[in-house]
Amino acid sequence: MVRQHGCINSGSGLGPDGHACWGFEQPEEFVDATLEFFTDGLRSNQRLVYLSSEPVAEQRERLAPLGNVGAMVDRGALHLLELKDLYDLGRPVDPVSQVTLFKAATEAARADGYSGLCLATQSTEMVREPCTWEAHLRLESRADQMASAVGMSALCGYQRGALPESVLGDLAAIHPTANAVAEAAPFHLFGESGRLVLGGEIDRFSTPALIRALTIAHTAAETTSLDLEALEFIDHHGFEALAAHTRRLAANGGCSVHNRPPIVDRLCGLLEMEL
Amino acid sequence: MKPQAAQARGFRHEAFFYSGDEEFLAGTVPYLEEGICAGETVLVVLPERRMELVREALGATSNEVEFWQMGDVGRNPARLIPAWRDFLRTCDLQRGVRGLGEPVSPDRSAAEVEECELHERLFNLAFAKERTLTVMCPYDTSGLGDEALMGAERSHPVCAGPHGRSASPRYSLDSPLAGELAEPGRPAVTLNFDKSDLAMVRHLVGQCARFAGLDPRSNEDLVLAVCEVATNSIQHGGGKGELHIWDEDGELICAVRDSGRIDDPLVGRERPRPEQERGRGLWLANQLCDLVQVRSGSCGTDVRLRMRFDG
Repeated sequence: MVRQHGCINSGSGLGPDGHACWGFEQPEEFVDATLEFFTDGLRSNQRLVYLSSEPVAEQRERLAPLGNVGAMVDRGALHLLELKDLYDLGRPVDPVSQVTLFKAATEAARADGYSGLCLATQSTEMVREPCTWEAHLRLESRADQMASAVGMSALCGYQRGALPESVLGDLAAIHPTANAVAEAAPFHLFGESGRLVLGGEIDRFSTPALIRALTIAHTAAETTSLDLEALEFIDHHGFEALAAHTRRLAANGGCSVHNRPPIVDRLCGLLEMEL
Repeated sequence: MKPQAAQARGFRHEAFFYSGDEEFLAGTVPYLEEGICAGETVLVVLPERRMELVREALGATSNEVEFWQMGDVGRNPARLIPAWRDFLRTCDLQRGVRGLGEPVSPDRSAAEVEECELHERLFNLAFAKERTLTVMCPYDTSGLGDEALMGAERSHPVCAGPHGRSASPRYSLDSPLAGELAEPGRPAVTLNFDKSDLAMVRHLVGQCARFAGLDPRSNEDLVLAVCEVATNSIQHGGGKGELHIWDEDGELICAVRDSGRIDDPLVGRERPRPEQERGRGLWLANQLCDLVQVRSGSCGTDVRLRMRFDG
């Protein structure tokens, strides 16, 4: 059973290992999705963490519909954090240390009696500068692969217009789910049980995004297993990009490909190429 | 006896008109035996029943002949040139190669007969430079219509019958992809598409294929083939195209039209080399569909991808 993936239209129903890229025009749209996401988190006894560029007082107001925010903060059920207190905004993040931090925070939540961590991050300010994009993409991919293993769910908000559409599309592609505002390519490359899963559809016009996603994800990944169970369509352009990628990885210990759908076997046979 | 004439013969491609099994065997068996005696590599590509007739008539020497069933390799006649090309790569060309191929048979549909004629015309282009290839193509005059028989004359430089052979006055290699395909005979689902609609193209084809009752594998093959051809329209045919889908006489037909023009008449009939950047889309479509028709000229390109309901 592959993790939930594809296009979504609500912050609820993502599950305890959900990870969504949420594009928005107005900040209120992300807050609405966060309230849906947090309502699920509360129901499944996850610790909530809200991270944005707004001052904490403003964050409290935005999250007021959840109930007594003050009491939730006091008892440790909700953490409110400002981005500037955690990150040197405008500079690239270190994906490895960030993921270590998320993992430790999830383990701490479990130690405190919660089922895991439910993290909503309004990340726009982290990716305003072009120099931050590549490291941030790696962070998202690495965090996704970690999240699926440790019981962390995350809703990542990005304001449309603050970064190029292509970067927002790349971010959407390396989350298992994305809303329509963020989604550019009809595929997702995400972590699942120590493997990378490629789901959705790939054609000539999404192949460049696939190449970028594979490069980011496999740079970030310790694993080089690729699962194609959720792949619904791929044309010869996408297939050849995938084959070229696995050939490149073959030079560094190889990449095992699992659950090849019939269309991939068909293309292997007709083009006389192996994955 | 090993005649050295093979090197001098060049490429020969002739139609052989026959009526009934007796004339068929009288014309084809001596032709094959001559090749076997000369030490040539001999390939026979025939419908199953005719293949068995030839095998029986040749007796023990049939072991020296390679037999392919036309229904396997040439169901879509556009797969025949790459199959021949692959076969020739395995042959010692110095010895000479002799073929017997009957792509046009009375059980073919009108569209298939039309494509068989195009295949026969393109065969001349594809193998024009071969120095030691002789191919005879039998045509059943008692079962085929006049148009199919005239097609044989248009596509073969030499025509033979029980009473001798002569150059064909109708033979022509001009603009093989020119001409127009018939308009849909039934109401069609239509979609104008560009780059942003490619997923919709796939989903629409998949839905129509399910509705028509195509099996899942044929459905997936047709979706892939149409996507490849529609991608060609977007990339090389003016950035956009039209898709029309209808069913007719037990086939689901997808027509992809655009304003581009195809210059290479052998497009989709040469196995793509790994280093080649283009030329995979129509080649794949030919491998995936029961029949693919391509017509191209100054008014644009029309590609028909056909899949039978019965698989």
